[in-house]
Amino acid sequence: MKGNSIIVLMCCILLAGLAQADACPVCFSAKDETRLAFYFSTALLSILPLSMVGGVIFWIRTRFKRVPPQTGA
Amino acid sequence: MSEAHTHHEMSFWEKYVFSTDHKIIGFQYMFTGLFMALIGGFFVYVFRMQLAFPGIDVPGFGHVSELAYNSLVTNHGTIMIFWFAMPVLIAAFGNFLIPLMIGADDMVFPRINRLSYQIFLLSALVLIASFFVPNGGFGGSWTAYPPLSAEAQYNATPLGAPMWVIAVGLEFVAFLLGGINFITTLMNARAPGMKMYDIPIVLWMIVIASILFMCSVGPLLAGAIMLLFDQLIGTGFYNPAHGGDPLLWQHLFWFFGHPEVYVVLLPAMGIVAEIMAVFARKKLFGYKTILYSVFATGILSFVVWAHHQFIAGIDPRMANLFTVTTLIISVPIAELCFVYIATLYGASITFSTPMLWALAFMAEFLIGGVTGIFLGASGLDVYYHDTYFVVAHFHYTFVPIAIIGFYAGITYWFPKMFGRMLNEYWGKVHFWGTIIPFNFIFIPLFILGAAGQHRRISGYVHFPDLYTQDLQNLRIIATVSLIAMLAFQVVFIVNMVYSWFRGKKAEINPWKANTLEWTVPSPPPHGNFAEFPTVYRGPYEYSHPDREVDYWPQNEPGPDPAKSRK
Amino acid sequence: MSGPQSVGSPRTLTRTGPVIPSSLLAMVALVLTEIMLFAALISSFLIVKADASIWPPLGQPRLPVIVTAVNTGFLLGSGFMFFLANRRFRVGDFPASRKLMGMAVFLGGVFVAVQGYEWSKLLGFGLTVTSSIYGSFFYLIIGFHALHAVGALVAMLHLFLTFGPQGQSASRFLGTQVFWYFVVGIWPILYYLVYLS
Repeated sequence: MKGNSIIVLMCCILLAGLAQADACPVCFSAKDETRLAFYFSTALLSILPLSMVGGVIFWIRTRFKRVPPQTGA
Repeated sequence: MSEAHTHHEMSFWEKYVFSTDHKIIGFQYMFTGLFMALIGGFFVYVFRMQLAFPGIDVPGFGHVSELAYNSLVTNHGTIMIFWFAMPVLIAAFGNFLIPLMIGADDMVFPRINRLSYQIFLLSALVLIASFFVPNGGFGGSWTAYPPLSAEAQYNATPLGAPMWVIAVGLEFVAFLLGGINFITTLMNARAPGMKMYDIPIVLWMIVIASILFMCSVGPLLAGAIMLLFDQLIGTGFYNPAHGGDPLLWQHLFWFFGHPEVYVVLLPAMGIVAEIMAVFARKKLFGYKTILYSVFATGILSFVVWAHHQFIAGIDPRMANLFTVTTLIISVPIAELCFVYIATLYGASITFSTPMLWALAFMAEFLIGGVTGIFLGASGLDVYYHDTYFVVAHFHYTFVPIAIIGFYAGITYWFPKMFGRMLNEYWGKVHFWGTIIPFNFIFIPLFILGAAGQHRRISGYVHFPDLYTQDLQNLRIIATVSLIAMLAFQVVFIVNMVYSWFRGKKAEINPWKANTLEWTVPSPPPHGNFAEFPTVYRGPYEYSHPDREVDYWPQNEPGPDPAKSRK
Repeated sequence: MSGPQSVGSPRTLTRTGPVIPSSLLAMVALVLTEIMLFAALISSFLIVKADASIWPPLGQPRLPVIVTAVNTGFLLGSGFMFFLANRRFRVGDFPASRKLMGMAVFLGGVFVAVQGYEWSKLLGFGLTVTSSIYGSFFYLIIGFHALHAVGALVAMLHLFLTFGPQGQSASRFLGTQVFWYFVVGIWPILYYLVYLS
């Protein structure tokens, strides 16, 4: 059991190191800032619409719960 | 929209041109879209002729220069997606169906609806005008990557390129207004009793598509403004020499471009769901499963866009991430397909024309979906990128969506739209005449793509590896099949025009369907409902054991089977 | 109100009594799209900025940080006035609501005027749309915001001028208000990104 966890830990370290060593032959800009800017804007554009739509749906739901159900239907 | 409208006779202009009636606006969208499809169809005929028989004078067009070829390919793609698939599937069916199916007399904002169509028409006119300016229409492909699209010295269309961008921008504004209307109407104008799970699936799909569109169109509009500035004012947003970044456009374009695929897919799948339930005479299998699968598709559609850019110079680590999300998104879509098949299982199916189209949609879209998984894998995509394999793949998705989806919808709702029945015999002739050539067009293209044939090249004469007799034969098969397919569309046009004026009069509910649009006269009068309906149950109660007839309209008073079962 | 006689009148459409008024829902949907548009502009700006070795580029004038900070105060004040106007509106105190609306329009107008003055100065110092990518993004992002501000102000002014003793169409009031909150709310983010960082 202990040997297993050591192997897993080693693999994790190895994989983490791999990301650093991973060459990026097609990246047009060598700067880390550019990479981070692309990461950031990718995350922003992906998460923003989902969270906004989610927020609006949540807001609509709370509004519906506050109003008593319509009669006659 | 004053109340005076109903009291005086409306002139032709008021009734058909400047109408605020949702049905008329739907027809306006549909016929404009079909007219644009004719242009797109003509373009594909011209450039396929050039590919099959390089250098010939194409009948009806003449010699195809490289510049003309680029422009034809670009505008074929642009028109078919932005001016045919979107207006017909979302705007036309959405406008026609939403108020009728939810039991309302019109959209919530009828004048915004009219404005939406007018802007759309203007965008179509700008696009058409761009074909006739000096040097012709824009030829930098429908994805318009800079620097090709940004610099007139590269694309050689100093007028065509900005006009293309303006036309696309206007078109998006039009659909933005329409989408706001769809969402608000479905939310606020439903008939009493119509709960969340009583809404017909097709409306859910159209509205979810509108939400996807609205959330994704902003970045493209921003990108289009920047591109227009680059073209007209000479800024350098996409020009590395000025500190800009050409990759930026690809992100902004595909951030919209990929959700766009689902924007047009969902309404088509909704149309198919309606038709399948009616002609299988079975309750639609797994209403909520369909709905939740669509939600999942919508959520995932925002995190797959960079799979279009695997070889464009994005970070390979990011590419891995997008490979995973791309493969995941096929799960909810596959789920939808399985659920549809489950609806068909054990049913006594009526093979009417609409049902044939719906079944063909499933079969053909499956091929498109499965080949997409090849391209979603970033490793394999390095080879397949920009080959005809990609072309064949997305035509196997877009043709079922736009063309088959449209024919399914029009053959199903034609009696309601125009008050007459389409001719079934000629409908089936048209169906087989379209489906068989369609496969003969695109299966050769898969083979050509696997052989390495690159897209967007006006002829392969100078590529000895690609200009072999075998491959050229495949190109000729594809082109001949295309001409056959185009020729069979004449059958449809004749059938439609003849049936419109001479066809058998349609009853109120010719298909014995449940949804509310089949409770009003065919065609529905201005204002739709003489008396506003109340909804008692979901839209898919077919062959219910307690009933003598095998359908159960939503507005017929009585128990709700969904409730009594609990 | 129901029945074929009132065909097309929007009031007949809300038979179920909408929990959220249509105008509010439509405006929220529009604002959602607008936020995405600005998010894309901001993303593009950040990427180009990260690409550049020196930011702002050499030979380009610096932006007036202090004046714009004060100006930001005017805009936020305008948003707050609209908020107060809404509270008066809700309890039916229309004259007070109208007065606060007027304040909101005035403060918003001051914001746009100061912006315009700044622009004329900056143009004089040589910061133009084509002078550098810095200038391009400045005029694109800030100009787009200004365009929205002007559009919203026109709507607000119209709202103010048509404000009767019986108040105002509640749906229009609500819609304009949401849009103005969007214009006001996005400004501090743009100010921070474009002026400060």
